[in-house]
Amino acid sequence: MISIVGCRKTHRGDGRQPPVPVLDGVDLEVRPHEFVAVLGPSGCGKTTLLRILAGLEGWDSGEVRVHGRPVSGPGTDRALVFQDFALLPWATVTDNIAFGLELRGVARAERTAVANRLIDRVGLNGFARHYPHQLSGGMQQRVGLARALAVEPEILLLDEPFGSLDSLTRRGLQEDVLRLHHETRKTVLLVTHSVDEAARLGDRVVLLGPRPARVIETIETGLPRPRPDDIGSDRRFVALKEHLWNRLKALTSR
Amino acid sequence: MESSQGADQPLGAAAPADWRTSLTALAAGAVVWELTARLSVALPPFSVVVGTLIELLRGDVLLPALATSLASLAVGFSCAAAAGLTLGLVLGRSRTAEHLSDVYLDAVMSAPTLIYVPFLFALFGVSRASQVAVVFAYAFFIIVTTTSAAVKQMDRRLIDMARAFGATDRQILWRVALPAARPMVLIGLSLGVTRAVKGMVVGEMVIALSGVGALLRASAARFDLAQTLALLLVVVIVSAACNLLVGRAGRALIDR
Amino acid sequence: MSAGAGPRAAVLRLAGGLVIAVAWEVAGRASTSLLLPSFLETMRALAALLTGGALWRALWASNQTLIAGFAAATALGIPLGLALGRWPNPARWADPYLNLLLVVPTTALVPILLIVGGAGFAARAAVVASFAVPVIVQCARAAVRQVDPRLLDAARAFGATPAQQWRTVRLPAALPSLLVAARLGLARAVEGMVVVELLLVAVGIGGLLLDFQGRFDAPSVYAVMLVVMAEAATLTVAGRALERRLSHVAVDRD
Repeated sequence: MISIVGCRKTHRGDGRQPPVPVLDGVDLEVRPHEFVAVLGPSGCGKTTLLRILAGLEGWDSGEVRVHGRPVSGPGTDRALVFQDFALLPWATVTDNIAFGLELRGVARAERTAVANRLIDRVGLNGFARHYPHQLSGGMQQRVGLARALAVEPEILLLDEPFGSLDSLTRRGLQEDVLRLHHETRKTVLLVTHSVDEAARLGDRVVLLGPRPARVIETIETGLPRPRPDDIGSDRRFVALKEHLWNRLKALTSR
Repeated sequence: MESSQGADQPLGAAAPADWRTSLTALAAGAVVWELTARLSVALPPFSVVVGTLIELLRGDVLLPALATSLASLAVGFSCAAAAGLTLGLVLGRSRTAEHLSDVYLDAVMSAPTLIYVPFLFALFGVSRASQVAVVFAYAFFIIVTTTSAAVKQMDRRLIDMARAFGATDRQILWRVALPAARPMVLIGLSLGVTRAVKGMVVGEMVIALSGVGALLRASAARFDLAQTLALLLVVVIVSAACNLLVGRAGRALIDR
Repeated sequence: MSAGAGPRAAVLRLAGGLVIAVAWEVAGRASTSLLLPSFLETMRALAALLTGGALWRALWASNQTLIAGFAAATALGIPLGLALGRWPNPARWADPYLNLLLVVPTTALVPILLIVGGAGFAARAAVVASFAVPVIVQCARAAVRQVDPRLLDAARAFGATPAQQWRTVRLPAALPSLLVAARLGLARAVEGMVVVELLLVAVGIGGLLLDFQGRFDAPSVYAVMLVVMAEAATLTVAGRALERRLSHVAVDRD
C-alpha cells in the first residue's frame, strides 16, 4: 500500500542557515488495513516523512510510492490529521468536516449529510454549529479526524494528533481511533513520540533514530485486535514499552 | 486559532452593553458644555451650536457642500480601497515586491500626508481632482500595510491543510487566504475610512475650493465659533456613519 | 514592515530606490508642468538647502514646537491613559469622548484652538499636543489593560502594596506598549506641526514650504518634502529601535 525505499531529504538552508539533513535513507512498507506507528524522538524528521507521504513536500532521492505509484502531490486516497488541528476558525464544525468535500465540488446537501453522520460517529452531537474556538482541544481534534474521514481516504495519516492534549482526553481519542480503525479497516500511519501511544495503537512500531532519521528497528507488536481495555496490564504490552523505552534512551543519550 | 475571536468588533468601538453609558456620558458632556458656556462669553452654548446647525441645514450652503464632500470621499475612498487591497495582497504574497518597496512605503507613511499636497497640486492642479486625491492619499497607505500584514501573518498551517485536502491555488486564495485575512483587512478598511474623512476635511481646508472643509475654514476665518462647531458636528456624524457603513459593507463583501 | 536581512533584500531595496529615482527623473523631464521638477533638479535644490541656513533655522523653529507639544502630550496622555486603564469602570464614561477624538479630524479643531489661543508658540505647541494626546491615551490605557492578571495576583500574594504593584508589575509590563504609545504620538505630533504651519501660521518648515511654493520654486518644495519625510522616518526608526532595545529588558511579549 505504502512503500518507501531509501528516502533521503535535506532541508535547504535559507541563506545564513546551513542545510540540514532530515531523512537518511528511510525504508518503510505499510500493508493494506495495517496500523503502523512511527516512533521517534522529537525533531527526528518523522513529521517530514508524513508530509512527504501527504504530498506536501518533495524528497531528494529514493522512492515513495502509494499503490505502486510515486507520490506527486496530495491525493484523494490519503487524508492527513494535523498535530495542531488546523481547523478553519471562521467555519462551523459542519463546514470544517465538509471542507475536503467542498473542495471537490460535492453539493451542500450531500456534504452536510456526510458531516452529520461523522459528527455522530466521533461523538460531537449537538456541536454542529459551533466554531472551533468554542470547543476543547479534544473536541477540535475530533473535528480534525472527522474531516479526514469525510473524504473517505484509504489511508489515514496521523501527525502526532494527540500531542497537544491532556492525558485523559488523549486516552479517549486513542480509543476512538482504535474503534474507527477496527470498524473501517483503513490503513493508518501514525507518527508519535509517545512510546505508550505507539505500543497501544500500532500493529507494528517503526522506530526512527535521531535526525537525520533512519529506521532503527521494526517490531510487530503481536497484541490482539481489537485491543482489550486492560491492555495496559498485558505483560507483552509492558515488555514492549520497556524495550522501546530502552532503545529510545540509548538513541538519544548519544 | 484565536484570530477570529472579537474579529467582528471594529477597532476601538465600545462594547454594545456600553451604549447606554456612552449616551449618558455624551448627554452629560452636552449639559456641562451648555452650563460652562452660559457662564463664559468665549464659548457658544451647545443649544446655540445645535440651532446654528439646524439653520445651516435649512439654508442652501451646507447641503451642496456636504454633497460635494461626500462625493469626493466616496470616489477617493473607493479608489484607495480597491488599489490598497490589490497592492496589499501583492506585497503580502510576494517577498520580491515587498523588498522592492517596503523602505519607501515606510518613509512615505511616516511623514504626515498633508506634506504631499504640493505634489498632488502638481498632478491635478487646484481642482476637485486634487481634493479627491488627498482623500485617496490619506486612506491608501494604511490599507496597503494592514492588508499585506494580514496576508503575511496568515497561518501557513491552514494553507498546508488545504493543500493536503487537494485545494487548488484558486481555492486556497478564496477559501483560506481571504477569509483568514478578513478580520485585519476589515480593521484596515475602517482605519482607512477614518483617515479618508480626515483627508476629505483637510484637503478641502487646504485647497479651499468647495466642500465642508472649505466652509469650516471660512467660518473659522470669520471667528464664527458657533458655525465652526456646528460644522464640526457634521464632520463627526459623517465620520461615525462612514465607519458603520464600511464595517457593514466590508463584512458583506468579504463574506461573499 | 520590518527591515528584513539578507543580501537579496538589500539589492531589491536598492533596485526599488533606483526605479523610483529613474521614473521620477523621466516624469520630471517629460512633464511641462512647472510644479513637477525632475529628480536631479530636486537633489540640487536639496543640496543647496542643506548647505544654506534657511532650512536649518526653519527646522529648529518647527522642532521646538514639536518637542514642546510632544512633551506636553506625553506628560498629560500617559498618566491619563494609565489611570483610565487601571480604573476601567469610571473610564467607561470617557470612552465616547476618546473614540470621538480618535475619529474626528483634529485638523478641523485647529482653527478653534487658534481662535481661543492665538497664533504664538504656546498655541502652536498646544495644537501639536492635541494631535498626539488621543492616541497616547488610547495606547497607554491598552498597555495597562494588557498586563497579565496572574502577574498581579502573584504580586498581591506576596503582599505587594498598590505602589509596589505599579512599580514591580504594571509599569514594567506596560513599558513596551507605552513606547508604542509614544512613537505613535510622536508621528501624530509631527502631523500636527505640519498642519499648523501649512494651514494656519506660516512659520518654520511649513512656512518655508509655502514660501517656495509661492515663488514657484518647485525643486525646493520637493526638497523640503524630502527633508520632512527624512525627519519623520528617522524618528520612527529610532522609536522602533528603542522599543526593541527596551522590550528585551522588560517583559517578553511577542
